[in-house]
Amino acid sequence: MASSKSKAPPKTPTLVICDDDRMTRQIFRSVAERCGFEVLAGVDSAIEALQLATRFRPDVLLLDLSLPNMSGEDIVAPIRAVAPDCTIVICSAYDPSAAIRNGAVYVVPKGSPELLESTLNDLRMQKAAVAV
Amino acid sequence: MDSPDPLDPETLAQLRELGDDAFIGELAEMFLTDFDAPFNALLDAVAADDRETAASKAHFLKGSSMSIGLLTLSQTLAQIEQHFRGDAAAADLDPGVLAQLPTQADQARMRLRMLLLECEDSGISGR
Repeated sequence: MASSKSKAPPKTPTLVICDDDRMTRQIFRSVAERCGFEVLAGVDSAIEALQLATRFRPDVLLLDLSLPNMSGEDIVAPIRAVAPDCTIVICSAYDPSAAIRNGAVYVVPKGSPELLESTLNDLRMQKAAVAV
Repeated sequence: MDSPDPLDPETLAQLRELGDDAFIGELAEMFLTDFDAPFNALLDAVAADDRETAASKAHFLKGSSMSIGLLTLSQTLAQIEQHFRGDAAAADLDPGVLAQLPTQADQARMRLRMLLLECEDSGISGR
């Protein structure tokens, strides 16, 4: 007998972009949507990214490091504390070593949409596997 | 002799994978709109030996140049950023690096205006 329970459709993974250059945000948004992510927001400051990550707990945060007022690396540890399932991908032309020590996992240099796409595709599959 | 294309063809090809001419045109327009203010701030900061501002503006412009494939300009900005993050005096920066910056910036602007026109023409002819 067929089960009356229907399988829930797979959840679309969510993503937040934080970069102070709007053209770069637009490129990241396009790559993320192409990889099947729902882009919750694109913001230009670390404090906004921290607020969004705390509120929505996205699956992925694309994070620039050199940002006005507060640097990206300053929010890596707080985000790991409030949203431990959020994977932080550093997309920066800046030295990422401190951010990696604080818990960022991936580093993608700017100007590499193909590399970002393959990283996000891997992450989408990992997130889907964990969700099963 | 033709000067080399300031826009890296490989990066442009990767960006074209992401969207149509309207998307590429939008990126070129954003770059052109957002470039001059930080660029002028960088030149002012260098002249005033304001190291922190110079490094920060050079870093921002390096990132956006790299994102759209202006690799030569991005490399020059990286040299300027590195210099101002270090301890050396502004006067010690290789004068050749600063001298080529305005020319490279002009070439970048011109190339992106051309790209924008190509994208707009393609949009018109496609209607």
